[in-house]
Amino acid sequence: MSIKDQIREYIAAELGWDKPASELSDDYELLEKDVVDSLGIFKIISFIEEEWDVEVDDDELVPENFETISSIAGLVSAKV
Amino acid sequence: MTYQLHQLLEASADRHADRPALVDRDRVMTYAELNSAANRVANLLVELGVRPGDRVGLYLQKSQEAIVGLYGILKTGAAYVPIDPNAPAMSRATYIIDNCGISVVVTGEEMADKWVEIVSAETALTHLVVMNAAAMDVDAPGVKVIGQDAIEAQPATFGDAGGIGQDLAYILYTSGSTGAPKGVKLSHLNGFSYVRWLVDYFEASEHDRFSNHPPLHFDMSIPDIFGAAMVGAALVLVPPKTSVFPIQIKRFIENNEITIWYSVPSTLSMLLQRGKLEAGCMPTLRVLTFAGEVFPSKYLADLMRVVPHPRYINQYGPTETNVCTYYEVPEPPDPATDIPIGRAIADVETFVVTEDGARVPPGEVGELLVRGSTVMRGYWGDPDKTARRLVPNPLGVELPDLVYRTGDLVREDGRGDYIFLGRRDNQIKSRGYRIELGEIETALYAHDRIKECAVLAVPDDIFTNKILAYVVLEGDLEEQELKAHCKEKLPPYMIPDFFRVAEGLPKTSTGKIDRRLLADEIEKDEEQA
Repeated sequence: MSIKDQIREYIAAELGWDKPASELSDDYELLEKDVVDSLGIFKIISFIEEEWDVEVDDDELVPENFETISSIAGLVSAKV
Repeated sequence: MTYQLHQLLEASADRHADRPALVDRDRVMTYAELNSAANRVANLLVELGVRPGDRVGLYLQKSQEAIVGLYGILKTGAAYVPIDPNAPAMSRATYIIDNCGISVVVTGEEMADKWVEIVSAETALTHLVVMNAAAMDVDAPGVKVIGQDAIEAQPATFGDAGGIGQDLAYILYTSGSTGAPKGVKLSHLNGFSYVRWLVDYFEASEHDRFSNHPPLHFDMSIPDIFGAAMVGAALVLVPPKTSVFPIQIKRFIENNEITIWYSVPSTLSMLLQRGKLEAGCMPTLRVLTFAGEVFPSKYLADLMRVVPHPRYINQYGPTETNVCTYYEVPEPPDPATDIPIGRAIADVETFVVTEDGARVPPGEVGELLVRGSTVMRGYWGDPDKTARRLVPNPLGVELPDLVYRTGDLVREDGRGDYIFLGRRDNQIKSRGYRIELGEIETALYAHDRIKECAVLAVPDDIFTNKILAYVVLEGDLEEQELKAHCKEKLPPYMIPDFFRVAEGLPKTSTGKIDRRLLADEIEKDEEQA
């Protein structure tokens, strides 16, 4: 499974998404549409850090890195 | 003389006409501009039939438009009723509109996709006033959309609608234990008294810059809006996305030179842990104040060491009392102790009683009761519930006013400050929000494949509590469907964080679900993890 799909599966299963994972597109606005809130951000960070054994720096906790599945995947790819 | 909340704005428009009143990202309004804009809204609302004593909905994100609309509503003598823009429109927004008989809703373009749902329900709704877009058609007979142009066409002056301080200023809907939210009625005087204490105690002036992020349906939004107006200070709104990211909060406070910041402890704990705070950061902060949940002492102590210069003030009070007690934290607390909720604010009295209404000696546990000018006028349309919470003084003292039973258990610490110990019922706090677990259970039971359920709070270091739902199913139900169902019925902060499907739930000898046993199980799981 690609990085994007793994993130998609995680968000669909654990956060504020109530439709099938396949309907959550790469550029869906996660923050704007409230799929991800402050608790959600911390869940995603823990998921990323465990799944890919990387560390998310505090400086990287900015909206640009979490706006969409593509941007989260970009953050991960730059680390693995 | 000022005794109504919108008069604070009018007085500041006279005295501080050109000072910044409201900052929403790069949009700044002076006091004169804010007052004129609110006058235009008030004129339009009166044209639409709004009269003193009416309730007008406020259904939009916290923004410049929302604050203009809020003051416009107050000027007409009506009360504003904030509707959570993120809550499900069909079940919650329409419930509120129907419950307090709203005919006009002030809204914003960003809510357009939710209008379809609220206009299709059978309520008294006749007009949607869109603050920031042209009029558009909604497909509903009997509901008309009024656009921004109609507001701008109104005169920028507005007379005095009359009324007194005891009249209703706002109704805040909070979680209700029986499944439906309840509307807390608060008067101008209620808000005014609280803000007057806050301004005095914080030594606020026109040089201050207030900011906080709680939404308008949360009573924590009150001091910033009206406190700033009382002294002619600036209210700086936090862009919604900023409050999700700790580093952004720090930069926001620094870039906007915020002097008084008010938020829930969860936000401050996150700021401490992931905000990259360094010595000398956020230099303009004068007061850091928090409420809504217990601040874990270890985090507060660390925060006070890293950011030593502001005053740290804990505020406490259910929505029904605005705020009723406060505690200023003098130095980094011992991590093994609890931060007190403190003592009564000005013009408020508090006392602690046993279940039979006898006064509890200092050091012993009892329920906190409150009387004073910040205490609500009751629950909208629910005299029974009002009579259960606003009661004659149990100590037998004959007084003209009633006292509010908080349902919170406290103990006095021997120095005159109260320590919060817990609830007498199933109400919990999560991320600062007040939640009745019973309301979540009612929402779950509304699904025909849920045979039985129990919703519990799982204590969490940062968020106070996370929410866990045990469900017993009749047939099959995917977790996805469960979540979708909750999303339709509940605002986001009430949706369980975890679901566990069980074959059955443990019962007590009287046949009730044994919550204690379930809670013990959770604790065991946590220890193993």
